[in-house]
Amino acid sequence: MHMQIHKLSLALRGRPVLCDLSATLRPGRVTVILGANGAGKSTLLSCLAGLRQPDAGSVQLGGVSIGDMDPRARGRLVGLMPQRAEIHWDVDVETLVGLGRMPHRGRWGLTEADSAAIACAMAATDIAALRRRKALRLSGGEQGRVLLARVLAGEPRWLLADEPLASLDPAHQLDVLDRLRDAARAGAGVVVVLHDLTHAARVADDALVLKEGRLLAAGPACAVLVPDVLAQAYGVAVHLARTADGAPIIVPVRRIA
Amino acid sequence: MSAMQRNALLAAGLLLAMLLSLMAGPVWVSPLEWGEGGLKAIILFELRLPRAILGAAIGAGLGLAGAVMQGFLRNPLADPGLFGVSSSAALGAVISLYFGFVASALLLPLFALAGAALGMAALALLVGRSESLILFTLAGLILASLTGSLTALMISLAPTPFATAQIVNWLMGALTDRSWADVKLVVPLIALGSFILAGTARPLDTLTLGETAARSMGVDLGRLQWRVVFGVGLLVGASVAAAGIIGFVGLIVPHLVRPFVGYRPGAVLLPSAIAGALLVVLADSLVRVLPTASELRLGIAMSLLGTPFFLALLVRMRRELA
Repeated sequence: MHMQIHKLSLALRGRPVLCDLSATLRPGRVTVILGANGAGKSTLLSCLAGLRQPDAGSVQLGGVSIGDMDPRARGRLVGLMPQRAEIHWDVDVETLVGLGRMPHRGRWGLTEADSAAIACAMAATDIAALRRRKALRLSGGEQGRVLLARVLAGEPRWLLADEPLASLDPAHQLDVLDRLRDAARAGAGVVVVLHDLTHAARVADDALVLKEGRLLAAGPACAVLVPDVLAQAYGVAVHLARTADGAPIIVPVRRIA
Repeated sequence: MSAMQRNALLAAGLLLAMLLSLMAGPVWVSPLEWGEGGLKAIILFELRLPRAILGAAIGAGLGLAGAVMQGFLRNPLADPGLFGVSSSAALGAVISLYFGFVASALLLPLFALAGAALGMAALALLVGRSESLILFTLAGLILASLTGSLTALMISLAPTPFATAQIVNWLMGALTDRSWADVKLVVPLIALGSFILAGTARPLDTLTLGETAARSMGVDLGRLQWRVVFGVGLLVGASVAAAGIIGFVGLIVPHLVRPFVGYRPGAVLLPSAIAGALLVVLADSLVRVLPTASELRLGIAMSLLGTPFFLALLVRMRRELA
C-alpha cells in the first residue's frame, strides 16, 4: 500500500507552508524528510498523519484520502511520534506503552493480541525491565524509547516520526534508528524527519528534501543526499566521507552565501 | 487489590456512611426505631433520607467532575468551578433570592439550573470551535469573574438586610431542609451528567501523551471538549442548584484517589465519584452533630477540611522539591 502525496498545498495564517507537493512513499522502506528549519517538514508529517487538512491536493493510502478516513481506523494504519515528547501523568511504563493500543481496543480490557503487541514493542525497544517504573521518573533517553514503544505497540502500517533522536545520547540514537529500520524490514512504511545528515544517510532508503514548502529533490537516498542538493536546501557546503565499513558520513563545514 | 475490589470497598464505605447519616443529628435515630412510625419516622424519611441521597449524588457529581476536569486539562489543580459554570449557577440562584422568589421551593434550583445553562452557552460562544486549552481556560475565567462580580453586585444592592443575609448564607452551601422535590430535580441531572462523562475515560487516558498523539490515535478533541463542558456543567449546575457552592470536593478527591489507581486519568473517574459521595455524606453528618448554635454550613466545613489537606500537599511537595 503506497502513500500517494498528490499536489499538496497548505497555507497557515495566510503564509504558504506547503506548495504543490507530490511524491510517492513506499512501504517497507525508510523515507527521510530533510530541509531547513521552517521548510514545512513537520507540517507535511501532520498532513501524512491526517491531522491537518490540506487546502488543496490530498494524501492517499490505497486510494483512500487520509483526511476522509474514520479517525480510529486511520489511527490503526498510521502511527505518529510527535516532535514534542509529552507525558502528563506519572503512569507506569507498561500502561503508557499500552496507550498505543487505543485505536485497536474494544469496549473492555486488553485482548491477547493487545498484550502481545505491547510486550513485543517493549522487547524491541529494550524497556521490558522498566515496565513497572514510573514514566516521569525515567531519564530523557528512556522516555524517548518508551514513547517509541508506544507507537510500535499500535502496529501501524505507516510509522511517522518527527525528530525522534532529539535528546537521545549517541548509543540510543543508533538504537532508535535501528528500530525504525526493523519496522521497515517488517513491512511498514517508515517516514522520519531528521536533522542529522549522517544519521539520515545511514537510515534512509529514500529521501525527500523540502525547501520553502516545495519539493527540492526526491528519490533514493544515495541520489538525493549529495552536496549539490544539500547546498541548495540548507545553504551549507558539506564534506562527504565514508567509514571503514562503507557507511556514509556527511558533515556540514561552512555556510555558503 | 484490584480496581474492582477497591471500588467495592469504597461503595461499602459509602453505604455505611449513608446509614450513619440517617442516624446522626440533633435527634439520634437508632436503626431499631426505623419501623416505629411517629416523629422519628418523619425525621428519617422526610428529612434525613432525601438529605443523604442528595449528599451522595452531589458528592459523586463533584468528585467525578473534578476528576474529568483534571484529566482533560492535564492539571492536578483544576477544579470543576474553573469553567465558570458553578458561579453562573450561583448567580441564577442569587437572582431568585434577590427578587424574593422563595414562595415556591423549586424556583431557586430552577433559576440556578438556568444560570448554569446560560453559563455553558456563553462558554460555547466565547470559545467557538477552537480546541485550544488556553482559550478555554481564559473563557472560563472571564465567565467566573463576570458572574462573581454580578453576584457581589446583587448582594450589595439587595433590597433588605434579610435578603442580603439570605444570599450570603445560601452561597456558603448546605443541605439543610432539603426535600424529595430537590432529589427528584437534581438526581436525574447528575445521573445524566455522569453518563455523559463516563465515556470520556479512554480519551482522557490517551491525552496523557498530549494532544497531537491523542489525535493521531483517533481522539476527536472537539467532541471530547464539549462532552466535558456539557457533562461537568450538568453535574456542577445541578449540585449548586441543590446545595449552593460546595468547594474542595472536586479538587481534593481525585487527588486522594490518583496514587491508588496508578495515576491513569480514566481510572480515577469511578473511585472519585464514590469517594466524593462518601466525603460529602460524612461531612454533612458531621455538621449536624457538632454542638454549634446553628448548624455549621456544609460549604464552610468543606473549606475547613480542605485547608489542612492543601497544607499536607504543600509540605510533601516542598520535601520533594528540596
